[in-house]
Amino acid sequence: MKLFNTFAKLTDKDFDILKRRKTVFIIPAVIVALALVAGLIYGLTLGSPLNLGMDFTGGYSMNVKLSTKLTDENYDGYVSRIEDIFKNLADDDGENYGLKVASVQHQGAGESASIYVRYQEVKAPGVTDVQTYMESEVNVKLAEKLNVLFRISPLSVTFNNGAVRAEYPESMKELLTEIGQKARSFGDENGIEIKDDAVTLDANNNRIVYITAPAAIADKLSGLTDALSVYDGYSGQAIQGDVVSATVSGELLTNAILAVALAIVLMLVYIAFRFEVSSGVAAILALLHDVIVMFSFVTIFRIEINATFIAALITILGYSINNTIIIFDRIRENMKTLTRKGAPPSVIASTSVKETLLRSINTTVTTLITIAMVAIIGVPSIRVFALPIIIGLLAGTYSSIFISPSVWAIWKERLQRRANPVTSEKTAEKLTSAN
Amino acid sequence: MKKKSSIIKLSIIGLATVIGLVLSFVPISFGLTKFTSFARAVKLGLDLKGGVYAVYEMDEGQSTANLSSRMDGTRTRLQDLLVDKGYTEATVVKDGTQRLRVEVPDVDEPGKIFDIIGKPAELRFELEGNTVITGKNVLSAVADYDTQQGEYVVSLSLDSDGTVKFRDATKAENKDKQISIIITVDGEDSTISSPKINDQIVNGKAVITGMESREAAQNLADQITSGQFDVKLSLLESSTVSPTLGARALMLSIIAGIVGLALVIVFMCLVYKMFGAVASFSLVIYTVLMLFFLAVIPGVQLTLPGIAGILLSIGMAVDANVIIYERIKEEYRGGRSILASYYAGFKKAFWSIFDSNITTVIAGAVLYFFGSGSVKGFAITLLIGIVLSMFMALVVTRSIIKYVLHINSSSEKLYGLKRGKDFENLGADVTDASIAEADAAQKRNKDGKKDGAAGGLANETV
Repeated sequence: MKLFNTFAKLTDKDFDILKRRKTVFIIPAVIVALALVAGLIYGLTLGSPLNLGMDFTGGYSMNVKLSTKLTDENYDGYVSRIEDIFKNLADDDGENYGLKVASVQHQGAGESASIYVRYQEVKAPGVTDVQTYMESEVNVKLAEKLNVLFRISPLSVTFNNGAVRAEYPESMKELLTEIGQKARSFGDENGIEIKDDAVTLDANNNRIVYITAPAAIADKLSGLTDALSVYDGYSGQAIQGDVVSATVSGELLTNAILAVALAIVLMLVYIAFRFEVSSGVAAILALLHDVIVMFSFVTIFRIEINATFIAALITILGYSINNTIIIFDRIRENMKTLTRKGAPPSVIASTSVKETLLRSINTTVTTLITIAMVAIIGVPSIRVFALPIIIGLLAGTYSSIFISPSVWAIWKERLQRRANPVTSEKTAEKLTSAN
Repeated sequence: MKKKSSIIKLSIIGLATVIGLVLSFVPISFGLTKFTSFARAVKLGLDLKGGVYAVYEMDEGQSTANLSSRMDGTRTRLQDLLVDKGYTEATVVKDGTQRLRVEVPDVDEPGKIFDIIGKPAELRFELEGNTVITGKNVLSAVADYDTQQGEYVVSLSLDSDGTVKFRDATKAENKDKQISIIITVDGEDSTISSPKINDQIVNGKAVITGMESREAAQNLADQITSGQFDVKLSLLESSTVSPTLGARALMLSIIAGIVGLALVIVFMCLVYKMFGAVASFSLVIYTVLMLFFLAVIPGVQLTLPGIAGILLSIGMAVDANVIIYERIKEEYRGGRSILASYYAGFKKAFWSIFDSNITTVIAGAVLYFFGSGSVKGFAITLLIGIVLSMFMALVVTRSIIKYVLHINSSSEKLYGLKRGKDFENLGADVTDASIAEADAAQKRNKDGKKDGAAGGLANETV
């Protein structure tokens, strides 16, 4: 009810919605200022003001060649193991590198099946040559850790009747010799004698290996389990990939910027032709406002900027101008009737905004509903796309209600004052006193 | 009478929509022919469906001067080639310093990547064993149809150096000698044709004749184009590649879309009652048409942001309806009858909807023509959405509301309308008689004009 009253007050005939013109411009100014400060702080502490994603920066690739071991069924399991290895990778002092996986793809099939991982570079304090640091330290460590994926470890190791029984997840027929070597060297290290012919395969189940050993080994079973994990000679390896360039090439970006600039000019021409030059300029300013606010938002909250952000910007470009034109259409209509009555531009603008306010709010609600659903239900990568759009929509509504009509009114009043300094002020005075 | 025909028309529209919905989501087979549903026929991007990848490596023994910028140039040309073929969402990235990795969405066989890119072919024109021009002299190679000879050809435009060399080679004293057009693919030479020199060619245009089909001409043109790459490449490996996001992301987005659509429908019905119901119905038609166009228009590979963009366009499609309905409400508040408000509402809202959408169309068209890669693809989706939503609001919704009003044009409540203070006691259809009269008069007038025109013509012939 209270909301309804406020709304009724807003649409009340005598209420000047654009009266607090300064406030109208202060809000976006504050947001931009915040973004500048945030960008400066991020730039100094984290190295870059914007959180640019792999699409823009490029990065590195790692191809985990699992070959025939990789199936559609175990793919997800491998992916989560790989992601864990990336996430937990730390340097010799135990300091986490902070690696993040940008994309994972299942590549090829059969013998050539592999998991292709892309990730961005990480910086460490005091490192100037990031590429060398990545290639000679981080990537090497990563490949080393990823080797775990190619090892076969026993599922269980028990000691009974003078023999160790190790059960593996798959056949160990081909790897028996290697297991024997591992067992003997473990025995040497721990002072336990294991004979050359101690290792045998279970006659009925080639996943089970027996190792004849003295009872002393019963206390060392956990160490033995680690020692008995062997490399699978048939699976591949993690191929340390190269530097991968950005998917969004410099040329695509330059083209996009030029195209947007051209689009803005042509829209300006169209609006100037259908409406007035002042309307065109005001509409374009509103558009720039929306885009700048979107940028400020992603800067402040350090949202990752990827190719999808370009799509988000284009969407808002189309949406925002749409919104603004509706109000200018009403201004155009009201100009015919109200100017004759001597109403100054600010009154015309305010009236037009009020008359279309319900429409502005309702269309924002319907558009927000769909995109908000995407943000709520969707996966993280789509949220990164939806959030800037939501901000863009809100900014677009704000600018079409407050910014562009205000700019238009200011422009118009200046023009009038210059053309006829005395009368226009008098009319304005008369109108204010009448109110 | 009008009521009856309106009911029939509405039923037809309803039936057509149901058929559209079925075609959109259910695959149908007639005997052996199978029709894929529109929704399934929409091509998907690398993030949702995956495709094939190929890694090309620079051939050994090439100069490595300016390698980085030459690789960049090659990459751009490769990307352009893919966009030309309609693969706007394909990606080409540098993998290390000497390799390019190409990923093409929605293709299942690795071999098909060659159909798309073509095997790079080096081209040279030879005269008596001496090379006259090479592919390096070619600015562009396009497939053409020679109307005089009635055959397909590949037209080449040469650069200034090539133009001079070609002019010298085709001079009068070489008349009737043969020029051999040779291409080299994977190190093997093959002579495509050996035309005789008839006239001196000074304009830098060369034509390769004797192509079997348009396809053959197009393939050769593409091969020559890729043969001009600054860096010579050979295929290192190629295979299928899975989506980066996967089926779960696609499913969640679709669920989000359905929930969003349902909420918009609830909102519209609550706020605009019967008008809202009509808008919701149009929205369903809009979705069907959108799917259809996405499926048939080339250059569309739907990515996750593309889907979000479509969902957003649904919101924007409602926008036009809201503008019209608010206008109708306003007119009714001001004392017009429901029917009169409908006419005035649509008439007054027309230009504001037209102008606002045209401005967006301008932006979309510029991005389509001047943007590259995924920007182009996104612009297509945006353009389809805007044009469709404009059509829906100004034509489809308008007609449906007209038919609905013919059935009932007297219930304030049904349409969620309210009189303003000054007109509280005015009936909802009080001016309808006059409107209907004006309508009829206009129709008579139109028919009369037609008759008159026909009559006039008849008179003239006599």
